[in-house]
Amino acid sequence: MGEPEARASDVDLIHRVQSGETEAFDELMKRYAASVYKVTYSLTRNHADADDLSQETFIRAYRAIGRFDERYRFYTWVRRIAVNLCFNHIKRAKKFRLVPLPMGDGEAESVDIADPQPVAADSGLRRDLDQALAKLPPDQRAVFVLRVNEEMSYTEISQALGIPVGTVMSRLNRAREKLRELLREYMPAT
Amino acid sequence: MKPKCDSVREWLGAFADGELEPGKAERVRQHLETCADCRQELDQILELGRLAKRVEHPLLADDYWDWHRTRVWRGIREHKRVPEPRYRPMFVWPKLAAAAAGFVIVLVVVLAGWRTLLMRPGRIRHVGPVGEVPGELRAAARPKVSPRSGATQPAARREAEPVAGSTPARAEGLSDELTPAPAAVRRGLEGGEAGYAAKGTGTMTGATARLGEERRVLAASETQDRTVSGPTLVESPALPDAHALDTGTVLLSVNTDSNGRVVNAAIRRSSGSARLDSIAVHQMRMSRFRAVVKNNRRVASSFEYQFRLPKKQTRSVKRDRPAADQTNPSERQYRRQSEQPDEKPDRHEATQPDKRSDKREGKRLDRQEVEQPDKRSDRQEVKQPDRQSDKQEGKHSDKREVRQPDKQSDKQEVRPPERQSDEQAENQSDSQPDSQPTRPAREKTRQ
Repeated sequence: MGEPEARASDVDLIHRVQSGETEAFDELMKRYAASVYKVTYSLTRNHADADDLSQETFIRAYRAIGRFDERYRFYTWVRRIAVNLCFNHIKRAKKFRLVPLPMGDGEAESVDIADPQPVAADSGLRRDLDQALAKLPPDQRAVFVLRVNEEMSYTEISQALGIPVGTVMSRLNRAREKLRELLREYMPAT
Repeated sequence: MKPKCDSVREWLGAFADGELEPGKAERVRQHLETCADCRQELDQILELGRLAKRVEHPLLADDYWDWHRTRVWRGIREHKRVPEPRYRPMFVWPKLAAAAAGFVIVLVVVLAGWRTLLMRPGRIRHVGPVGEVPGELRAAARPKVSPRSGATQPAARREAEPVAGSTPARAEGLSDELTPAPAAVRRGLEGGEAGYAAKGTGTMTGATARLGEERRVLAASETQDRTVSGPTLVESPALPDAHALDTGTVLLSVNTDSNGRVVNAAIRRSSGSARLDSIAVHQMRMSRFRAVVKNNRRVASSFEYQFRLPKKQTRSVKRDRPAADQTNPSERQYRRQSEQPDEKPDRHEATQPDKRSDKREGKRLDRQEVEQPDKRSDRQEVKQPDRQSDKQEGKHSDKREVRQPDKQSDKQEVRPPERQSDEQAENQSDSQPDSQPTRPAREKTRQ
């Protein structure tokens, strides 16, 4: 998936937001909310977490938009915020073993609106892929997701994660090796 | 697998992603033409990417993104109202808690240090004389002895404790049952004519005692070891007549063995009179203290002992004494006792204690060790009057020898319950301590 082709107008919108026109930020959200959500979902493999993290990503982007550097594209910038949030979330979840709570009556609003079913040709494949990704270390998972799902270049990944390109390559190789082992039944026969 | 495959396989992922340098990519391409294993691995890498893209993201409702933006704007408004609310408690509360904990710690340390300073052994505290204590307090403090059974009623102790307006030190001076530091009071009561205050050193504990205006009450701490009893003088030789006109106070450093016998006495603070110092050292070396019991074992001890040599009254001196004697009642009563050594022997006559006296003391110590190391055996004897009433009758005079005469409550304690007449006499002397001399004193006056 590539980033939206609206870079020029993104800059205009950002300028308008910086000048106090908050409605322009709503337009930016309409353009990139789905993309940001995909990133957060790919990294967390959980809709509730992806939903919260994508919202938090835009909240932080709005608060920091005054410091936006126009040398970067808006989506690259906001995706980096999302990845950092997801990384922190994964670390926290690993530390405290966060368990999603069942939704109560008071949260019916979110249940009605967002009861997503993943798009998958095979539910068994989705489950197996989820389990395989869950077994990956967070750093390897992030590199794999950003490369495969976000189609980010190694340089972009290194910038997003703050690691060298060689580290991106090695982590990606290790992630692929483990996933091939875990998803052996889906791999082409020798 | 060919050895060349190892280096190629490291590049296969980057080759599949199109991230490999052109030179390396050409070498990989050439290797793949000849290596089926590496081709297969490249196929698996590409298939893995296709599988991952097939399970990409959940299917979301159409209005989900409107709801999503609404939530974002709500979050932005909440962030504006309260900047960083999510993290504020994490940083603020620990600081407040740490500050509160620090304040509490400092407060506790200051209070503990203050209390320790107040209760430091050797600190002298002035306490009002016994005569200043309200009569009702003394009456309440005096243990009630049943006329028939002679059993001490602990209710008296409970009644005396909560009396308002009375300082704990005064209550200590009234009865050894009143306070948790009875050893100190006993020390005051049994100090005899010398009227001393002792303070513990090392593991020795002390407490407060007050016997008169001239007697300083020494506050000592009971914090070090509550299993150790204070120094209680149980034997002391009679003062020689040579000191009759001498008076003064000598601070002695006393060492006792495990039986309480003084093995060494040295002058810590002289009275100013060499002869008086010599008398004090001599007296102390001939004395015996109650053995210090620690952890149910008698142990040697060392402590400081303030030995006061009062002015011994001769008959001529007595005749010259003014009618309105301003001295302490206990001092006057002491004088009366010391003037009549034949009729009512005082502690001076205990220079060579008889075997019965030794036996009694031994019994006391044994009982103390077995039952209550810091409780007096006197009380226990009273509590069992039926078995020991006869013995108590015989012991009564002996006990009086080592009693401070002005301590009425203590007298009551050790007096057999049958001696009701004595109790009445004491009540009278309690109400009129100066105008009611004891019977032997009156006889002596007639002589």
